[in-house]
Amino acid sequence: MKFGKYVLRRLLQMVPVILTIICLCFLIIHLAPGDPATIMAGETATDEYIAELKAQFGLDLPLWQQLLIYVKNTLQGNLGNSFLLKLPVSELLAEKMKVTLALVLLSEIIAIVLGTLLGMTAAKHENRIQDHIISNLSMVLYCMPAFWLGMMLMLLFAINLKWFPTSGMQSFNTPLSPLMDMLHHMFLPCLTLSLIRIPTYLKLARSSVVEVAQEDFINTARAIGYSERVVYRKHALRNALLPTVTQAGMSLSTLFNGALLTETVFSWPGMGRMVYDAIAGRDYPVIMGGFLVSAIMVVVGGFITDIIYMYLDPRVVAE
Amino acid sequence: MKKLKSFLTNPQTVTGLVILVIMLGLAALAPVICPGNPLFSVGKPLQAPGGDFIMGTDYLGRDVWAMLVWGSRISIIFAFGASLLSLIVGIVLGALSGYIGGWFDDLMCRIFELFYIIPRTFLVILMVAFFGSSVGLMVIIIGITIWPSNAKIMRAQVLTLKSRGYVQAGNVAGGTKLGILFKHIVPNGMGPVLSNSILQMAQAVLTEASLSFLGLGDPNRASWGLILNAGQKHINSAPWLVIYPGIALALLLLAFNLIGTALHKTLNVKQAAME
Repeated sequence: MKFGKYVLRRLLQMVPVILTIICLCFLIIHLAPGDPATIMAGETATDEYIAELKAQFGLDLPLWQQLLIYVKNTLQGNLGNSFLLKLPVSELLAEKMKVTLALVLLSEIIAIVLGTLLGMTAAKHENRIQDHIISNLSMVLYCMPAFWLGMMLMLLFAINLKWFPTSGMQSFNTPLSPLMDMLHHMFLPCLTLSLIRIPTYLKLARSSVVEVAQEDFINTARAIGYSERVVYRKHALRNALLPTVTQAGMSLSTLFNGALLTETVFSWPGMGRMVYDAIAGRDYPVIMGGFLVSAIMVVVGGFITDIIYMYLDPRVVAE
Repeated sequence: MKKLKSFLTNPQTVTGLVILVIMLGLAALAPVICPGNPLFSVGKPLQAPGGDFIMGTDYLGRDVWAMLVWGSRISIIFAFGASLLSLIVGIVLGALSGYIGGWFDDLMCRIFELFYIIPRTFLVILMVAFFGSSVGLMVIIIGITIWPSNAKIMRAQVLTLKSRGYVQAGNVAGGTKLGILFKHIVPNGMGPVLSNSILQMAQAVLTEASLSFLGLGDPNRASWGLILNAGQKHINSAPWLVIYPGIALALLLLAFNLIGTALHKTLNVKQAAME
């Protein structure tokens, strides 16, 4: 019962946040130089279409009524039409989001696993050569701009060695099965995103394992005679994972930023690439929709993380 | 003093400072090192590095080395401009939030949370796309999207320092509230905010480079992102266009991160708001 109450409270907390994000978008549209109707319709729009938009979004009404209409439209999934592709933004986003999520989630899982393992290794050998090598490499990776790392990997593995395709998600005339073909295309963008995300998890795992290793229960486990392997795998890791879960939940926003740039480099046909094309064509409804949807996904991601956290650490509910 | 010495002699700080000084030197001496407008065509397009052009030329026959040297100016302007703006806004709002408390503090905390959630680069892209991409405007846009982490740190500092003896003494001596806050509390709580600011310089530089790379930068100013943007289209035939500016960018980011992290460790700050 307590769990149910907690979930409900967290759900309700999401409402004002989402409303604020929508209001922020409204604010940007209205503060931007130029007429909101033209911004939403595009400079090449016909007068008819502008009139239709004005009616739909009530652009002749007082500002507060416009805001209400905007919020209502957004909540109903009406994000306007892309004026480059002549399609509703929500439809486009729904399709592209799947492609982005496939890339982003897979990369994040790889980064979490590798980052945590490397962080534990570094912590086990704290201040020794292994730790220095791992920590310094991690620092270098942390400073690497995602899009540049992507281009370097592309240069090496796709252009020089020709092991992987340079762009896209599928190719014609391939002996591979559709799934294998997609994975083949996904390899480099996924590697890029994983590599830049590894340092975050590595640092986190390293510092929490170092901290946990000084706790009494670890000494107790050692005194009982458990092997170092068991002490680290079973006791230290488990406690060290809590901050990792929190971090993973908060990472969605970083992930969307990374995806935007990485998808652009590899022409991965997801949301990031679509927003990039929209930037080039000043397709404002698409840029706005991309921002709105990713911000809302981050809020939802935070909610899901909290629920997972609740199962890992039931003390949360009691507080 | 001992702390300062250990900070300044630590290999991380030294590496960072050396890189930073070189970059500052390039930025300051750009007109001497590479006279003339770097955006003018000076040779045949897409010439490989060597001969007259140590880093080759781009698709318009512009000297990559000259663009890189002049581009360092943009990166430095963004690093210092945006982080300074963020520092000022963050300190003032964070300090007031911690000192006044009540509804103002509640509101501020909600704002910090909101900024933590919003995909920041995305927001900056949105604003630049809507408002325009002149250098000054972009510095302001980046500055106003990164201040919350400074404010959060300052707020925490004020909350712990508020009850210290010397602050109480100031109260008893009859100092004005704002006077005590900004003369006594804030200066004593600056350390962690400053180290965060250095990390924010890296953020600002990376954001600018990303924007220019996506084609949202100022096309009339040579910047590293601009070279990378053009280079991406010619990565097959002219890889030097993406290699050199990327190295410069990564080095500058490394410098800020090394110095920032070293300062963080010296001041023994817990990882606060790195994102």
